[in-house]
Amino acid sequence: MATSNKIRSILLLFLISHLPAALSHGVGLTMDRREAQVIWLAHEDDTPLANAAYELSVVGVNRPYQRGQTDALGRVVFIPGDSTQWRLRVFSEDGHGVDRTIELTAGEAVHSHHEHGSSDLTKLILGVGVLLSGFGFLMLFAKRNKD
Amino acid sequence: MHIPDGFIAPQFYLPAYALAGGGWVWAARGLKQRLDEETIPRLAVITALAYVIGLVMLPLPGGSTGHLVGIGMLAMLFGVRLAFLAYSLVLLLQALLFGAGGITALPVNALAVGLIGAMTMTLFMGWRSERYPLPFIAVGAFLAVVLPALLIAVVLGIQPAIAQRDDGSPLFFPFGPEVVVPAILIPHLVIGGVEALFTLAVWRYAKTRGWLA
Repeated sequence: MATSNKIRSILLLFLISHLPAALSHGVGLTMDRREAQVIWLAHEDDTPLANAAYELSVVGVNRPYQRGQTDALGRVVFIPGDSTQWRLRVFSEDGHGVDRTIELTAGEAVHSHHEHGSSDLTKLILGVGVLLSGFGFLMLFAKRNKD
Repeated sequence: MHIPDGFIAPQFYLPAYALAGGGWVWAARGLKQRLDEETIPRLAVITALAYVIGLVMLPLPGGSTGHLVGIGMLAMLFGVRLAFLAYSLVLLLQALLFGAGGITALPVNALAVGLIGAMTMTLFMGWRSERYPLPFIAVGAFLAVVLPALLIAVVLGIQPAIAQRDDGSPLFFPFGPEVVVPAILIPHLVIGGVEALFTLAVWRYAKTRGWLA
C-alpha cells in the first residue's frame, strides 16, 4: 500500500513538474487589425505573378523578415512597422523575378506606386535609336569598299 | 532567358565577368577589318531586330510567356564573334532600359546565349549540305536557343549549393536543378521551334539578297 502511494506521489510530482512544458505545446492565437503594405507583382502582359517564392528583408539586415509565396493575385502582403527601406526578391522557378529595394514613407497608411509598363514603347524606340546611332557612328570608321 | 540581378552569387558572376571580358576582347580583335560600309548597316538592322524580338512576349502553352532570341540569325549572317558582340549589346540595352536581365547576370546571359548560342548555330551552318541546307539551319537555330537555356538553368540550379546563410537557406536563387531545369527547358523547346522557323525565313531572305557567305 505504502509503495503504491509512493508511486502515485512520484507520478503526481512528475506531472506537476512537467505541466508548464505540456502547456507550452499549445498554440496561442491573437486576432488584430493592422494597416498592411501590399505589393502587386505581374508579368509583362499584366497577368499576376502567382505562387512565386519571395523573400522580404529590411535593407542592411541579412536575415529575411518574411518568406513565402505570392498569392493567386500576385501579392506580397506585410506589416512594415517602423522600417522604411525594404528589399524584395521574387523568384519564379523558370528564372524570372525581381530584386528591388522599396522605400516606404514612415507612418504612411496608404502608399501606392505603380511602376509597370508605363513607357515601354518609348524605351523600345530609344533602344533601337541607340543601336542604330551607335552603328551609324561606327560607319565613320568603317573601311570603304573597294568595288 | 533574362536572369535578373540578385539571382547569381558573386562567387559565380565575378569569374563569369572575367571570362566574358576575355570573350569580348577576343571578339573585338580585328573588328575594323571585318566591318565595312556594307556590313555595318546590315549588322545594325539585324541587331536592332534581335533587340526588338527579345522584348515581344509570345504566349506559351500552360499560360506562360516567352520571347524569341535572334542569336541564330545573327550568327548565320555575321559569324560567332560579331554575333557575340552584337548580342551582348542587345542584352546590355535590354537590362539598362527594361530591367530585362540584370547587370550582374549579363556575363552569364552573354556567354550562354551570345557565345554558346552563336557557336552552335555557326557549327550547324558549317555542316550544312548545299543540297538540303534547311534541316541544318533549323536544327542549328533550335539548339542555339535550347542549349543556352539548359546552361542557364544549370547555372541557376547550382546557386543554392554555392552560397547559403548560416541556417543553410539559399542566399541567391533558391531552386535546385531538379526544379529549374524542366521549368526553363520545356518552354524553350517551343521557343526554339518558333526561332527555327523565324531563322529559316531570315535565311531565305538573306540568300536572295546575297548576304550569306
